[in-house]
Amino acid sequence: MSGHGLTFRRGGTHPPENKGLCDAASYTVLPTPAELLVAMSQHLGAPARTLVKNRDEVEAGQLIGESSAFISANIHAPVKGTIKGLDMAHIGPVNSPAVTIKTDQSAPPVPEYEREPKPLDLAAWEKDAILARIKETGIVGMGGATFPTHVKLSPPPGAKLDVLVLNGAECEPYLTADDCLMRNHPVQVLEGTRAIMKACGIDRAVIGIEDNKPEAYQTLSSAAEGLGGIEIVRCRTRYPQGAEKQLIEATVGRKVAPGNLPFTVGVVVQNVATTAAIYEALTAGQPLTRRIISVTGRGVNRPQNVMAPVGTSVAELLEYCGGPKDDLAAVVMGGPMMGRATSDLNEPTAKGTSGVLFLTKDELVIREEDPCLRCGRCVSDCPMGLVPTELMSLAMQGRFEEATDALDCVECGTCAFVCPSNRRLVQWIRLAKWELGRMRRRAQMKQKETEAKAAKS
Amino acid sequence: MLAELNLEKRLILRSSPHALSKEQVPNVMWTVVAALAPASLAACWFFGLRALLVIIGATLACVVIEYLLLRTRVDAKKAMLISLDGSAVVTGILLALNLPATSPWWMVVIGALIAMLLGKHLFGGLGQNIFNPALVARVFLLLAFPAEMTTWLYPKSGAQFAQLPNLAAENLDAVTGATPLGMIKADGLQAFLDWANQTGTSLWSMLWGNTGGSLGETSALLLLIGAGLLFWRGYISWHTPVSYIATVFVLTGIMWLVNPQYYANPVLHILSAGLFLGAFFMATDMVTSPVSAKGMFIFGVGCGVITAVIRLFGAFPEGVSFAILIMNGLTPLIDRYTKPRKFGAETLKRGEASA
Amino acid sequence: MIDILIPAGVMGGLGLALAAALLAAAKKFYVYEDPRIGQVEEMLPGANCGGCGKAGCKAFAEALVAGEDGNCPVASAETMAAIAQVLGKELGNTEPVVAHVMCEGLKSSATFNGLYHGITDCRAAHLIGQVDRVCSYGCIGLGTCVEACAFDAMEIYNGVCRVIPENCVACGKCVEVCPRDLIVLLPKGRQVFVPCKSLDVGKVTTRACEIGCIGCKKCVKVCPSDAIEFENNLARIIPEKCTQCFECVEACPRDLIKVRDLAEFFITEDDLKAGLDSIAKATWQARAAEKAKAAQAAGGEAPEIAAKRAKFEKALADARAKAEADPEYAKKLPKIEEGFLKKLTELGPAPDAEPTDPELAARRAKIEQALAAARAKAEADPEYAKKFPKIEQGFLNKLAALDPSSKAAEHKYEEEQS
Repeated sequence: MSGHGLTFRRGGTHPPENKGLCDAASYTVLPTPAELLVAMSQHLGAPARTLVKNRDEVEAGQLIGESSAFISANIHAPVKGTIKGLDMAHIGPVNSPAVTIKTDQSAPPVPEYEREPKPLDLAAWEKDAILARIKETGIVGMGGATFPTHVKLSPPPGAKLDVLVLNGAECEPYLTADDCLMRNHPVQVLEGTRAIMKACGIDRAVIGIEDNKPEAYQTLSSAAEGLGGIEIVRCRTRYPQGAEKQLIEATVGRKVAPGNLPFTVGVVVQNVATTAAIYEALTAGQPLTRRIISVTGRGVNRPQNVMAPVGTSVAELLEYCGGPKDDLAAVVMGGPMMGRATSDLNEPTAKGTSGVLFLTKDELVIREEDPCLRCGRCVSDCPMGLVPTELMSLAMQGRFEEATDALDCVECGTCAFVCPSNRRLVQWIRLAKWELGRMRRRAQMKQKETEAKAAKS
Repeated sequence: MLAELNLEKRLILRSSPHALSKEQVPNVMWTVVAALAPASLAACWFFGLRALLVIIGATLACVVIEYLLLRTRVDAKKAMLISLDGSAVVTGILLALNLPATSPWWMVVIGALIAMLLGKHLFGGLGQNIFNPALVARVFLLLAFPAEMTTWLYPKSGAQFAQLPNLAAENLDAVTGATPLGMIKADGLQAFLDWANQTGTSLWSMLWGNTGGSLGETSALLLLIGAGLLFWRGYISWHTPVSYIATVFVLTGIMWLVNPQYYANPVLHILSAGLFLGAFFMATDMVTSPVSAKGMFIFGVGCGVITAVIRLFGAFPEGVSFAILIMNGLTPLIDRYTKPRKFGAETLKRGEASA
Repeated sequence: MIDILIPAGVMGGLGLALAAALLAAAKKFYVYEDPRIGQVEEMLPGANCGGCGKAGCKAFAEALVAGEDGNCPVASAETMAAIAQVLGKELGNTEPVVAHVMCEGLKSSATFNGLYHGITDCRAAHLIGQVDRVCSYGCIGLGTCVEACAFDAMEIYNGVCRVIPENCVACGKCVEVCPRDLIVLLPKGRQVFVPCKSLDVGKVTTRACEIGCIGCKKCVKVCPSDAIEFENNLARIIPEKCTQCFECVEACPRDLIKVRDLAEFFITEDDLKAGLDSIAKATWQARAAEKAKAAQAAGGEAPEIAAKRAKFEKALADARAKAEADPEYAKKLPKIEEGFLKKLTELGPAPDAEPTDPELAARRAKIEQALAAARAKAEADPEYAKKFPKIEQGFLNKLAALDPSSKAAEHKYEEEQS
């Protein structure tokens, strides 16, 4: 653990970084796959409404799914092709309507990032126009949360934003996609930052980069010279440095209250990949249809960063990267601390997929759960100040109403990582969250029923 | 091509996180054993071969009894794994360190049985017990066999190390005697000071370990070194030991200031009668103490208050075991009221509930 | 003397003072509780299962006395009637229901990929996504519903959770707990349903499970009462419209649609070994045959008379239908009906004893009408004729069910089975 840099104060841990496996200096471009399974729900909020039918022809960048609610996003076809089916995509517990596109192999592939990007002429862009373009192009948070960006950048009236924090921390082990982007396309990142600053009326931006990425820090710092209002800062390599609230505390020293969003302390946070996507949207009208994904882990033969269109299946990526090794034991979408394991190699990648891990049995560390020792490590290391062992205990007993603190958990995985008894703390806390949500929904429905009954009588 | 491998059948599905730290229960437990090693070896040095037998006997008894108790619930392989995870060994050593070197073998075995059965497995096994098993056993033995439990050996030099383990009854008088605190309680402070002058016992010797008492009560210095290992590995935090010892120091100091003729000075108090053993190794036992820093602090203070009161005003010369057991019982209550503050809770304005 | 008097006086005085205080408190803080609440609470089963939707039997009693309507699924009908008497009002008559798990993708017949490591709780596993079962909609099989059931009415069989109908009181706990909403409460008399919730297209479902709904819509096409709705690649039978003619059961190419009398069906271990669906069908067929035999034994009639009876019944049915379409004809209908009924009575007493209950008669008439219509269709359409025996069987079963004499036959069958 490096000692330099700003950091959050409470809790956290330092899992082995394993970043050397996947070279961040460069990335390759995946040749267009034969088929793409593009889900209508690649974001938080309501799934997009499917606009195409079976056997329709679509062009690259064509709108195929339309934002269907206030919190929703557009979906576009990555490349030219024909709609082959309207199947469901199973992305974790979410069953999302989706379209299967049979790609036209003779058509050009997804456009890469500009190699010679020009600075944005922000004078020509009005704030509303920027937000409209972001909405049109279906941009969502690419750090993994996939919150629709145009909504995030339009906080409720009365919220005064004065700092933009950019998340270049990439605190998850193994993943180097953001590092790669920052090193190769610093101009996109910085210009996108400027665009967001214009859109939100902010004149100060801070880009936080963990200090295990010195090259990215150098590259961005030199590219940012002369750009007013943008500061690049070094953060200590500590997990979860990239968690929104922790990053805000580290970079600008403000603490967001439990249950509140960053705009309550005047901050808005965006991932660096999102800013690059915003640049592309403003200059070329490019919708969000591709991204850099870290295909890594010791279970794949040639781990590397790959630029791939959304809807690429895991199997496609695995084959492109040399196929699996014999001791491949698990496939994880995302990083090892917060990612989701899958057994379906046909599962598609989406806008928020920053990495696909192919882990071997040794890396996976399967251990049986021992009884909780009440050692208190989870309590002292929880960055959100919760008591994971108590939440687990309550969940095990089914006393979910008493476990309301679970709603403040960001599921970073620190508690389960440090637990000497290998307790599945995050899974228990997730269960508590799920049950609390269901109980709330049931109570709402019951209330509606009683109101309806009362209205009738 | 990929489909032929039929990978999907063997992919493992698990909730995040998919990485785990290297530390597991055996790491923790065996480190505690290592931390107790210096003091245990010193005990063998001071009290001879008999001490070694007591330590080994207690440890063996605890492990075997745990294995047998586990066999009523799980299969042989699992029982073997669990009984060797180190927690039974820790209990065994702590139990031994709480006994005098003259302990008869049957007392050691009964102690192990009480510790494992009443103190641990009737509650459900590792992590489920409310009271520290070694202390449960100690208190039981103290009340059931008061004579045997207070037959203390005086420490001898290394020459005694080769002494025969069985001490015949007629030899006992020559080598046994009361502990410093025992003497003070029974005969008064002056009597103790006279004896101390006579025998050349000083505070330094108490620090080093050259006084009578149970196996673990003697060498405060070596216990401190062992505790240092646990601090370094992060298995115990400073809150409980420091608050415990400080509280005892302050309370006994106050009474000493009030009446120095009657009450022993606070340094004597904190160096004697197993306070260090209790404060660093038993009050900090993870299973039976609070989980949060605030809670651990309160726990330490509580232990200190009870220990001081028993020592100063109670009938027993020493109160560490009782104090810790009582506070163990209060741990769930302490936990309920000392939850750490949530991240960012201080930015909530007074009276404003979180959104 | 004084030594005794003083303590006695003090204690006595203290006692009196405290008694007075208690009396005052009892008077001042007295809360009136309707005595009926206690009465009703006594009569309720006291399981505190929450099946009524309230937080326990006391709360339910309070709600009932306060005027709310409700039903206790655990209490028998007599108990509810008695409670209704105490309250001096009618309580809502809810049809008895039983839970059923809408997934029968057994481990032996569905595809499972991956090894699940984690908490043995279906909800927690569901949050990972597709657990080891490839079908994302199917039963996870870790048994959270089994644990939630307070009446021992659920068990895990071959990777799938099942309801044990005799023990189920429809309290609804399992419905609440299932993360994939697979458990539904179906009316007890419900014979036909589609135990699948997969929204995947047929191609995907075939890979995932031997039995899942592939969305071929054959059932929709054959249903004569439009009782099957099809949405998102999944068929669902609408309970209110289903006439239980069992056409869909025959039509389903995957043997998915099940026939099951939830109230009386009991699957033994041997049955299970042979495979759920084949047993269901076989048992149903056996019982249907028994019922028909019993009906015949109770009073069969000569085939010619039966044929005449059928002809008259058909004509009657046609006339009725025509009357509905044509108001002019409707005016003449009563006379025409009288004529046919006279002719039918002339043939002699019907094999089934005529029920004196008008409602029963009306139901009988309706079934006979439908049966006649089916016969007519069979005569016209040879395709339909192939399926007709089964349909006829269905109608005959229903007629038999209306008849007390054939109930005796049913009981006999049950006794043989137990």
